[in-house]
Amino acid sequence: MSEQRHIGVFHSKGRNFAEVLRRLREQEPEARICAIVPYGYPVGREELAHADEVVETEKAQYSIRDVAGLCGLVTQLRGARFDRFVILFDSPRLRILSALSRARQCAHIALDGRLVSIRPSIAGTIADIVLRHIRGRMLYAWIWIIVHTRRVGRSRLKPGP
Amino acid sequence: MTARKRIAFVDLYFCWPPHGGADVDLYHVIRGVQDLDYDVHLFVSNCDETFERGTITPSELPFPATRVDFERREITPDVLPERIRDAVDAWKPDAVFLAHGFFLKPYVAKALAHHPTISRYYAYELTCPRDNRLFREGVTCPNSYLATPDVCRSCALDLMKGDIVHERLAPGSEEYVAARAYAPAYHRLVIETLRAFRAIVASNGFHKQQMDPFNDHVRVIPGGVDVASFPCEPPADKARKVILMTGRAEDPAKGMQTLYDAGERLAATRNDFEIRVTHSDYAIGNDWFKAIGWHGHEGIMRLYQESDICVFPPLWQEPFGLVAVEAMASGRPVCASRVGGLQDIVVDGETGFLFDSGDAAGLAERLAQLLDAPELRRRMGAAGRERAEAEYDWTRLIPKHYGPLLEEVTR
Repeated sequence: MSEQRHIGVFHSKGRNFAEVLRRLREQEPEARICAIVPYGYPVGREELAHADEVVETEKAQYSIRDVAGLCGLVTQLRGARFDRFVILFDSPRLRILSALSRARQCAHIALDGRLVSIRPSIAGTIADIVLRHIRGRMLYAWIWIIVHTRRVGRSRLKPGP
Repeated sequence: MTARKRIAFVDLYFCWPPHGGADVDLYHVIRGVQDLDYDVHLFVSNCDETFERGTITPSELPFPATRVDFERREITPDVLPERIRDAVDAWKPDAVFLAHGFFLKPYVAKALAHHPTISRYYAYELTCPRDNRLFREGVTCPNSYLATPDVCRSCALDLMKGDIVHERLAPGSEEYVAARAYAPAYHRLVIETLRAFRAIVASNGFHKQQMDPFNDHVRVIPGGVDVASFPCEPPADKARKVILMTGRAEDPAKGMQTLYDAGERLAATRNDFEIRVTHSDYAIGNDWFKAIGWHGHEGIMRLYQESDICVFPPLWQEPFGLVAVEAMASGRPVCASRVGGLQDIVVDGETGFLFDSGDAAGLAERLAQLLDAPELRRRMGAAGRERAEAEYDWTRLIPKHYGPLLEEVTR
């Protein structure tokens, strides 16, 4: 008999958490889904109905400068021994957090609700972020030049009727 | 016997179940226009690889619909408008109603320019390429992409920077890049299409004013609600009256801080009220201020019924203010900022009170007046329900506004 998969879903503001949990439950009906919510989040809420367990983080918010707090969070996530760690957004910080969680698989929820696998290795995540950053910088520089050198004001737009 | 006129509705984002007010609005407008004895057909662009765009099952909609499927790399000005045009042309409409769309909408408008076209704007997508909100640093932005394009291009790029640099393409920024909305040629296209529309529908007078110099046929049509679906029972008598703010309270433009400040003033002298806001940060709050999280439609209707007074204090020029109409349909008095569409919805002194946006003292004063006068609350609530039925119920709104509009455009 296969062991029940343990899936951690890390709460972030800005997404409908209940909807994410519901979809995940549909996709993984047999898994043990753990909602990881910030400190102070009302655990009894019906929006957590699709989670089998709810774990509160030690703090309501984490800052990049709060190294001790972040270490505590990583320790807490590793202690839970997730098979799969799911983040709600594909942001660099959340990617690194998922890599640090030591889950065997990591995924983010795409904007259309699909689960998209991401690299769980720290080195791979950082390399990915750097590459994206370089490509993004180049595109931004190109657009910046157009916006700041080619003005609409100098175009031959006729005045309105 | 004359053939029924055919109206093609084109939407680049429509999803059902809906994602927001624009989807709900279009759904009811199409159904209403169908009832006005027009042949209708909805054309939706769909792409599964990005954010939810055009997620519909045509057979489940109460009107005929076509989903035009795209791959992510096809969401471009070269491919998307052409494919939409082919689908619409094959249906041979008498007029096109161009609904929701952001940066690619002008390209689609150009591709469909051989049909008489009505363009509907739900927010400030035409005048604010930054985020469609015309709201910066806590106040209404004095600029407009139509009048000050270079200022607005630079401002839009500032906001998009993070998304572009990190290749974190969200709905707005992905289309911004794909549509080359940063280029001067894009501004020329926007103006050209704006002038060519047979009619333009804005959500409020403020937005209409911005478009008036470019087209003589801009009109304001409000959104609507299905009033009958909102229960309208008198609130239960309770020691602490419930003041409710619904909508995206996390958004600073929605003005929750003004309500909090007003509550603080009230709490200094009385404790017979509780403020509830649909904010998902449950950590905020105190004895008289509660964050109650996001609620679906059923939950929202229950919240209105549990409330005694509803407050909508936006700081920006709220395009319409559907939540205020919902509260009125639920028979609750409404206190709202004197901005955007809200100042047309709430009749000051009759269905509630208007106050200057950001004026916490003014809001506190009006809330105190309502808290002290149950009869005034009841009277204003009843007047609000009456106004919602007369002005904002779909069954009346469609014949009143869309009937003459379509008659004119298809003549």
